[in-house]
Amino acid sequence: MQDNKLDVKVSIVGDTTGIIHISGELSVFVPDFDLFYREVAAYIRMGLIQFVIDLNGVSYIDSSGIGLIIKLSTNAMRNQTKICLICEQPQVRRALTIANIDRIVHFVSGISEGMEFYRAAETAPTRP
Amino acid sequence: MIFKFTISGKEEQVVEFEKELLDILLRLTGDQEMIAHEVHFCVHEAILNIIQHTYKWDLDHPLDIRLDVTETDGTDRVLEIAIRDYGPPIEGPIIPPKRVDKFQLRKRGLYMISKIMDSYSIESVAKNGNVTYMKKILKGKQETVSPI
Repeated sequence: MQDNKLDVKVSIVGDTTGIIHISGELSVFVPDFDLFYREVAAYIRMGLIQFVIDLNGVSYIDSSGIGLIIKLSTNAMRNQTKICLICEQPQVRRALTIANIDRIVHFVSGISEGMEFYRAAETAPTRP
Repeated sequence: MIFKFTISGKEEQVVEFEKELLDILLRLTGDQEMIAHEVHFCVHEAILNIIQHTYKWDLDHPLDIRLDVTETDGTDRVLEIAIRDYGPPIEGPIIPPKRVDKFQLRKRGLYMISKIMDSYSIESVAKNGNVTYMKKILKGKQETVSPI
């Protein structure tokens, strides 16, 4: 932990998709973490399922931050989808890999690829 | 080399300590920067565990943290980290899970520490407190670092 700051910007697309840009430290020791956690819970209650989360501005993530990702992933899984993560930051990516998070999320290179992932899922033929 | 710190669980003290810790670890690991970040992560998680489960978020209690760096055969080094808390002793051994379920929240931090570190244990000390012990073998040649 270095800066002890967390900055979050959220935009909602349609009824079910949220785009979240996170920068700073995704850690329980950051004062705004608890607020963000409750905000995420509210988005889930609102019915948002699909999330494209940009972690490129995140310099540090701990198990609480990973727990937040799992919470969103669990919600997505219940609705037969995955959340999309953008994460080029090597230390953060490594932490997600060690935590086995890479198995339950879909990594994308940018917001547009994440949105394309959900569009493709919507248009994919369903099995009878 | 030995580095000793005493901090409380207050955010500002944890943040200040972790900055200093990362600085030490980066100098210890030289060009293996990722190892420094991984060990830093483990210390953070160990402190978080103590604050959550032992101190129950009472942030005034102290934590004594000691880093020992010893050389093995001239190229490798052994980094040992001991975190002493003064809370109620743990009732039984804490064993990190060998694997975690995909969506499991609990014990993921313990699981991650056990994957990163070469050794990890928590033991009670007499009637008052516990010691969290972690060991990491730092392979290859690293930069020298002086105790602060």
